[in-house]
Amino acid sequence: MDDRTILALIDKFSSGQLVELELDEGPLHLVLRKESAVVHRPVTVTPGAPVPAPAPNAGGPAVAAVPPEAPIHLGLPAHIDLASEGAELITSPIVATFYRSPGPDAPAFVEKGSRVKAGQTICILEAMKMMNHLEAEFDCEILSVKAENGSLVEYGQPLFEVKRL
Amino acid sequence: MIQRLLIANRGEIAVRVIRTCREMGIETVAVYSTADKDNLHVRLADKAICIGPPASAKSYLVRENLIMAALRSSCQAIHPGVGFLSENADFARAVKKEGLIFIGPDPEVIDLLGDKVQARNTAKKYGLPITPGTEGAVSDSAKAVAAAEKLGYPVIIKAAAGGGGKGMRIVRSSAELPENLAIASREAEANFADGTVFIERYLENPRHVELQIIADGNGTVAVLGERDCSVQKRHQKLIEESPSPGVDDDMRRRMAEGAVRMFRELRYQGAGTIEFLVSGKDFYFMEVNARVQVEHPVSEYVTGVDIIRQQILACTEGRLEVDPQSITINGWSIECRINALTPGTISRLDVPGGPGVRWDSFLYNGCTVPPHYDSMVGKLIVHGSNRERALARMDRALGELSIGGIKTNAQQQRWIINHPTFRSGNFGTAFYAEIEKEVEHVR
Repeated sequence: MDDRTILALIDKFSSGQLVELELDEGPLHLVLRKESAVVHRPVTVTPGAPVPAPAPNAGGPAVAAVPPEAPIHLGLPAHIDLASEGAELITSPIVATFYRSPGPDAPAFVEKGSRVKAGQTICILEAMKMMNHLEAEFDCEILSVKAENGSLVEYGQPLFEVKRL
Repeated sequence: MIQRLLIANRGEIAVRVIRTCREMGIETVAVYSTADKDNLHVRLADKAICIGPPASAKSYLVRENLIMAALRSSCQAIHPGVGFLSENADFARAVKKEGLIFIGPDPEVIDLLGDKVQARNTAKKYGLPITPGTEGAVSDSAKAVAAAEKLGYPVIIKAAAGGGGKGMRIVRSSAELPENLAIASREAEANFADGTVFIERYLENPRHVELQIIADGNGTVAVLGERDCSVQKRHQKLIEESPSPGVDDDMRRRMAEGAVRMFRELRYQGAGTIEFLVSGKDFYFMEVNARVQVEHPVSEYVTGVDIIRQQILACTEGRLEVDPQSITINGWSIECRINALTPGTISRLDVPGGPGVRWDSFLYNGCTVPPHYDSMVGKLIVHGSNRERALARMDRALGELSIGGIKTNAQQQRWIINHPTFRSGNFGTAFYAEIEKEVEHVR
């Protein structure tokens, strides 16, 4: 592989969606890596008091939510495309049902474009009939909602794409 | 028949359950930690759900995540596999509470069998011999000497509240007894805040023999022969075979009679194993494992019964497809556990084949063996018309097995199965410790 090909490759890589490329060709070992365009932030889940909730019965056993771990590097669904540079993902720390509002007829906690303060509830993660309030860890703007209301979300699944304020 | 089942486990056993489910037309949902996202069970299952970070305590052991995953993916049942939550009565209870089927016995049965003293008393009630010992606690040294002399030396002093070897003392003569009794009691007091000790006859180099049981929960109990698991490295089984070279027809019949009575009375449901220590012509009840076991394939080979299939049918429909009276043992089967000695990425994988060879594993070329979990990466199982032929086949198959990228114990296993003592069939649980130094030099 000549220099021109390598330069062209770097060019293509820079403009493309790839974040990492590793190539072995004869004596050449080339690694291209972007300074992480995606930063995964751990989030805090507060096992909150039962709220007027989408599921009718909140009298289940008192189960504590799993404490979130340091940044998640693996297990994320592959279909992450971020709208803009500097965006961050808020991911689910548990296996749960994702609810955007406190009740079926209530308005959503946040919408695209909402600006939220640290500590503000952004969604409910229902697990074993416990309504866990997911709170924003920092002031941010919601760029997009990545999960469907009422759907199952797994550990590490992106819920919101946000931008720090 | 249920339509969908979640497997609350990983690795080889998850793959094993998926395979039978696929043959039964049951869809499978796998769960995985972030360290296992490319594991074979995730690839083979119809659906996979990430349940947490690598540490088992935050993924495979988090009941809420497992149950939520099952509920929200419309599963009707959860198979716990082996290890993790497979013998956790509270998990079984939580699963049932949510209206799901737990593929295992009733939580009350799990609780009873999990308590060593209760299990021992239950076995005794149904006529199974237990290791001879003092009925209750001993504290007076004169009475202890009398009891020990009646039992016959060597004896072992055990803490009533104990476990993990604490407060245990092996005594070989009356002269040593009073002093050891005092030490054991002090140790027990220090460790368990209870100085109560009792005395049992100590079995030197016994065989570990177990019966494979399947039961429908309605009183039908089938025994799928016995397994000999005497090759153990510090209580970790390494090689298993069926039948056992140390069990004759009479002992086999006596073991099965008591076991069937016990499992029938317990209304046991699913697959289970009853373990015994065998010393000469005597056998003693040890414990029951209320789940399927790693070494179940050797019993499958000699009986032709798919144990996972029967377990699922027993727990979901209360029935078995096998008639307990018509089970026959054909030939000989041996299993070698293949354990990773280092984690890493598999760079090459050559799997043995040919007649009478079975390879149960989660490995594939390019997969990763994470450092977070059990070291077993595969099981090599062979079948032959007799022990000698099965061993020749195992030797041949281990020679064909080649795993690149990680270190395994495959060649050590080959060395053991060719050892004259192993070949003689005359060995017990102390065998491995005798050869350990030599085994560890095998590469």
